[in-house]
Amino acid sequence: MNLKKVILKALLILILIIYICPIVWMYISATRTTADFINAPLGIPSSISFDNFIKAYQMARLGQHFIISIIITVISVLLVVVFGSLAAFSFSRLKFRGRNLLYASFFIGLILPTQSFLVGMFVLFRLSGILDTMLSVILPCAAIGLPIAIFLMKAFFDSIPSSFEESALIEGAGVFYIFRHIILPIANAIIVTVIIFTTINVWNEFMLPFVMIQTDRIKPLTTSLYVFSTKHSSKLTLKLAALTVIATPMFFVYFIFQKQIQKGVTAGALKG
Amino acid sequence: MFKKNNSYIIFALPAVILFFVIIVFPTFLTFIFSFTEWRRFKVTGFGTLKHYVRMVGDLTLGKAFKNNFLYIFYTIFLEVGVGLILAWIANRLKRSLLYRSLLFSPVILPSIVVGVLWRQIYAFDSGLLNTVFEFLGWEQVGWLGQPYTMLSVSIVSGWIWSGFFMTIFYSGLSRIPETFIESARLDGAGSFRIFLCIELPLIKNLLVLALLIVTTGGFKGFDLFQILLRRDPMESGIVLPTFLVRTFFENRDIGYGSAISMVLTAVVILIMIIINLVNKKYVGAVEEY
Repeated sequence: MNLKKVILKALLILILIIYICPIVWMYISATRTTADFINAPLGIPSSISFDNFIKAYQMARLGQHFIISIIITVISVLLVVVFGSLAAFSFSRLKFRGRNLLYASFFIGLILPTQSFLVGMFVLFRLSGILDTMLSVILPCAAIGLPIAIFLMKAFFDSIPSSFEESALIEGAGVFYIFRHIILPIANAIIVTVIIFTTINVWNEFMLPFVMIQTDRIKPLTTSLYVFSTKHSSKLTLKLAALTVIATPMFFVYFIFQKQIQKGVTAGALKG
Repeated sequence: MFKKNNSYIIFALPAVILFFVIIVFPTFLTFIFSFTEWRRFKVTGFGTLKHYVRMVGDLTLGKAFKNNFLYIFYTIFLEVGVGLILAWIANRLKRSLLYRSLLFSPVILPSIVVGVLWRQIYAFDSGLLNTVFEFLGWEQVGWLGQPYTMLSVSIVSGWIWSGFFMTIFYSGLSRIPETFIESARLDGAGSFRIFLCIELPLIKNLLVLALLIVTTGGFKGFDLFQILLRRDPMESGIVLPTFLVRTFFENRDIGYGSAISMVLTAVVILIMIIINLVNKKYVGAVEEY
């Protein structure tokens, strides 16, 4: 029994080492010069230097694209949370004509891949002149994030007993007041979950900015790094250094919020 | 609770408008476009089927389909299969939180980081894999070329997503009461037998779900193919999403791009329907425990 557990543990550790090898290699190589690296890709760095990080940061203008990524992510997440919670509240609590039909229509969003509306959206954006602006990424990111956010939040709102708002209603509170001061505070946990997985999805989004944004200046980190890595494909260690600058904050965020992130990403991806 | 009042629709309206303008309407547009003749961004005719007819003889499209199915085939093993094994091991060891969170961590990395990193790992010269191969005295391999292209991309997918599926399966396995396992063990069942006859049937809903995610997701994957293979002049790793982007956004062929987009949509929906039907018919209702 015990020997078996030891073997299993050893197996798991071995698998884990294989899994994190690429990441460790990325961090080690990022500190080396390209010449040194080409001589021995697996060698121990002869001297550790942090020049690469600074050079990569400046050459790839990571700071500027970081800000673009932040703007896109924050606005998209705000749209999803504000619009989504209002809609989920109305689907859960309010009665109006067409409610069930509207609610059901969001199921389409769970099924359709982004590729289904990419072409139509591109032409629409081109006609309306928002192509190649940050809006052309923000709007689809928000729209794609809405359905799953609405489903999760509606399910949560449904589970809140109506006795909570009954007393407020008797005292003459308005609908919006009840939403804002009674329902939302209780739904804290689910809103945090929605914020987390929407943030990760938008932050990592690649295809939409790849297709929509051609102007270098307003590219988010993902596609600006793509351009950087194709332009400077021979500067191997510089490329890897740029990657670590992006990956490191993600790891920090992950290990701080890992419980919520695992829950959120799992829930978010289950829209499959 | 609240009285019926049609003006309440105002609460749902912002989300509904955003959703319809960005997703529903453009899907409809794409459908119309696929029957439209275009010269760049100008419409030159309606009601044509030529884009769909063109697909029949398009060898690249055939290759994209073949690659897509190959990718799905590989990732079923490399994402779901490996994820299941990892979840089983983690569930046998009681303290596995640290391992599980480390194995999950690639999921949160942007695909650009994963893609550029693995491109370097797969590089012919001074790539991590070939350096190891050289060290072991094996022949170096062109990982991203034929015939390994799809396998190499699938391995990267497996590296990212197996931790994700592990998390899903673990949540199911860890909820199975210890008494089930213990009584089976007393009856003389081995670990493998227990896994096959008790644990697997109890998480079959999660397995169906995983299958659904992998098969439909296989037709949506764009990032890894674009980043790992870049221009891919031989088209050895072309899949439907990259073919679509290439047709529409590089060749500006709106009509054909729309038609591809509609076929892709149809395939994804068809797979969902099939899996749901099979699920209802053969797997049956959830067994509560």
